[in-house]
Amino acid sequence: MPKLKIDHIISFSSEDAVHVANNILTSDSSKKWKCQTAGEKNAVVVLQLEKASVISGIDIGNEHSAYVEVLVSRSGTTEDYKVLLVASSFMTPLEARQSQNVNKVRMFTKDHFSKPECDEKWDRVKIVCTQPFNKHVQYGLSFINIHATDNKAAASTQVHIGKFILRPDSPDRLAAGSLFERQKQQKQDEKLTAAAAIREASSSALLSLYGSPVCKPKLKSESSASPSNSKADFAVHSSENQSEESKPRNRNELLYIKDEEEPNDKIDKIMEKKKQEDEMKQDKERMRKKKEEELKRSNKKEKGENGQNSKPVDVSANSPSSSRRKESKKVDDTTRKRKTSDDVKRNATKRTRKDVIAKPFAKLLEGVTLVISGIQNPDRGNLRTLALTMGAKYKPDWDNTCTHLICAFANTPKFNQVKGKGKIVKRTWLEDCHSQRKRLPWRRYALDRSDMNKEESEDEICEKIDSPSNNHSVNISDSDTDLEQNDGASDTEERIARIQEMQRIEQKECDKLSDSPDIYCADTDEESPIEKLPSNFTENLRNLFADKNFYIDQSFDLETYNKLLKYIVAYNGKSVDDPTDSIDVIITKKENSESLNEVNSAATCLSPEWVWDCHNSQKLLPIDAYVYK
Amino acid sequence: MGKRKASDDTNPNHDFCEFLSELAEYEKNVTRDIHRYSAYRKAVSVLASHPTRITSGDEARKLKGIGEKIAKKIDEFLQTGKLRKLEAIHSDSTNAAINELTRVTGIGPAKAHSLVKEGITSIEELRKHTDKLTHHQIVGLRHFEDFEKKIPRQEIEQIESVINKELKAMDHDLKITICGSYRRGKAESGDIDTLITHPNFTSDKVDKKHKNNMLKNIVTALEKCGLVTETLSLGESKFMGACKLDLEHPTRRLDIRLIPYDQYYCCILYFTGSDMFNKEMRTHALEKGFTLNEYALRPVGVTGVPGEPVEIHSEEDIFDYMDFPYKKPEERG
Repeated sequence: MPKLKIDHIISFSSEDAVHVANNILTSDSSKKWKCQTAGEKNAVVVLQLEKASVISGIDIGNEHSAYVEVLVSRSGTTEDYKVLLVASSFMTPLEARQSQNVNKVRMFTKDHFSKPECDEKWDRVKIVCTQPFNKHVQYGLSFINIHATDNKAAASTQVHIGKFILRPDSPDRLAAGSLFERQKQQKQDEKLTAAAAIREASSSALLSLYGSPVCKPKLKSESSASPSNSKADFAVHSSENQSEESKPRNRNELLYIKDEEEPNDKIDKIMEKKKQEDEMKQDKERMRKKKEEELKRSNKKEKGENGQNSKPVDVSANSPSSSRRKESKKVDDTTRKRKTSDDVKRNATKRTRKDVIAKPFAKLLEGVTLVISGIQNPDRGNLRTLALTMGAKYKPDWDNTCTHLICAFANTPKFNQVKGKGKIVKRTWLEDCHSQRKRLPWRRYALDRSDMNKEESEDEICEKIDSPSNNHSVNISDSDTDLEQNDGASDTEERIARIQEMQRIEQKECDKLSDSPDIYCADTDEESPIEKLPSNFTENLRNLFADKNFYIDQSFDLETYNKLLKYIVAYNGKSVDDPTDSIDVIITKKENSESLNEVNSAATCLSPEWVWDCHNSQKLLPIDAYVYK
Repeated sequence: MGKRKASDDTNPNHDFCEFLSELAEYEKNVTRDIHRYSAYRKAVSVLASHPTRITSGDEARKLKGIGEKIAKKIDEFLQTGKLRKLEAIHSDSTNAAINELTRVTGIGPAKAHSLVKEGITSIEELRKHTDKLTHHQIVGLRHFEDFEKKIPRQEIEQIESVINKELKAMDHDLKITICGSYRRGKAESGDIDTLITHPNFTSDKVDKKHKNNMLKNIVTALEKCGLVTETLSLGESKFMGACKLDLEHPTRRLDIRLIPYDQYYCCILYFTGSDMFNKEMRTHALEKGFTLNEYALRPVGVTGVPGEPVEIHSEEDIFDYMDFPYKKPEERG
């Protein structure tokens, strides 16, 4: 496991004159860090890692701390630190009091870390030491080693047969004419080059990890030059030299997605067949969808006209030259502009065909990682199944990799957690996506009204469709062919113009996204801006509820209860276990407020909203609006 | 915990405790208002430990856990010798019926409500409609009278020695503790709460796929020797049932829990109670930066996330970690 280099120490709570915090950076384990005075509440040090990495292990050398907790964060975000390693015990009370065993070392691996956090990359590490049992010692750490995930382990999965090393698949398949084929394809398909660029970038990044100077192009020429590497799956190398050479090769191998490298002929043929089969089905739906959008956008009354005229609508997606890749969105505007409405007619069918391939049903929601809130089983399970069948990922709890929150109603704990960070949609989004077999823009299903109406930019308006028309779209069945015709509205020209406008916006979005690997499933959604927190955020955080005693209604579900408790404690409020104690505030549900008031008439019963809103606005809000009458 | 809490008629405020307990039961079973229930229970425990007779509501008010409303009720009781609220409750036949039905083990407030709705208002009627009941409830009904009886301390001692003898023969390393009010030194208890562990049985072995038959074997052994007579439910970690010492003794409610070794002492602490003491203990733990439950004691991190469970080898350890003066089970009122 490679040891991660700690760049510098960002901050610390205190340090001893001799045992300074910087000592942690030195590999000399005799140099330690201790807090300044004995009996401090806790000792904190924040480290900056050289680069963001997935942390696979931490070795901690103790210096008289009873508990050590490790939290992580990224320097780019304003998000709070997340717990990576929960407070872990290094000394028992007895040991602490007698100062025995003060330098215990514990080695933590991924199994010890908190679940979603352990798979993410982090570049800030905060270590919190506490020593509640002995108030007469300075405590801290003697050393800390942070290990990154070991990629080499994965790369060295070579197969050994005695002295021989089996070489894995060649990245290039050298069927006759395949080189030309490839070149042709690259020219014709600019998306592939985009993909290649991304791959290139990521692979070289990975390569630099190993410090291996071997780069991809060289490798390619090397392998293509050797005729023995034909379609055979491996070649056997006996000499020491060659096996050495093969090592970087193998690594590179891992970085390729094999399919990307291969000529697509066969697949294409298969796809073509399947495409044609699906075409009839999908075509209709797609047309309908477009029409719906049209309907909504133009407030003009539809006049019964030739159905074919409606097809120009479909221009929105693609030009004929782009291959059947999803990225076709990126297609040049100008090509599109050139088209006459006749042209467009022809293309319409092609486009639909392409889309069928671009997003098979099982990959419709590719790139979507969703979390469900406020919906109970069996509905929850059903929704989850819907999402999974469309290629989305599911996580029980929100983390940085999540994109959508399927939420039943506003202000659930998860809602508040995700607000401003992710897309919060109603469950109908998933259900409609599934029933209409397409990925619908999320904003029209936004749970939060502010999300729905956000930013009067053009594409937002297009997507902002009120629910009646939504229902409409759901209700239309495939047989509505006459509608299709009706909908072929009056001014084709005008419509084309409008669509092209949309297209341009869409492309901008695409470009924005293009440096992320998400490009293939990028949709037109706009990320909501991340809220900026005031710089004195952490200080405020301390005292919002200071000197207040809280009682939290135990009939809240556990999650809500814990969350409330966490927020209240985080803002220095005190949580009391007994409703009859001296309490300032009772957080409860409406139905319990009366009885709780009876139990403790001195306290005020408030709705949990108050806590969330205080948190959201970062100040102590007047309670009037939250008191139960 | 048993359905009936032992009430002690030696204390000077005995009558207050009685009517407050009744109100508590009413809140729990009929209105299902757990907060009012807790408030009344708290008041009862305060009054029960108060050394002198309370002579006025105002005097009671000064005690922790008695507020305006309860003080008023005490005043009313002192002045009129009765309580209008309680009278009203008594005069309502539904309430009485629900209260009666919930005395059967396995029948909670919700089931009692639905039974009353169906017109079953007494134990007698219930005996005629056993088709609506689960196995657990049927057994509860069969031994209804027995289960209502308090178990004298001496009888539990005998049962304890039987269990010990049987199980030690099975595996000498088994640790057996009878918790509940028995462990707190009470003269009689409502049921028998037994915790069992084995040094080789730790929580990291619990999730393993293969089934754990330890508890089943224990129960089988106790059945063979004739102690266990009924099984209400039996899982991998919890047995609920009934036992009978011999023909002269009534059938008694017996619970056996198989606890991982590392959680044993937290569990003993929890099941020894009393519930009020547990509340106090947990509050204290939070003050000291720990979180305590029946499984573990864990330090709380800076963001409120509980840490890894601390190692505990005795009940005293828990008190020690929390810097809380140790209280013997008998002192945990």
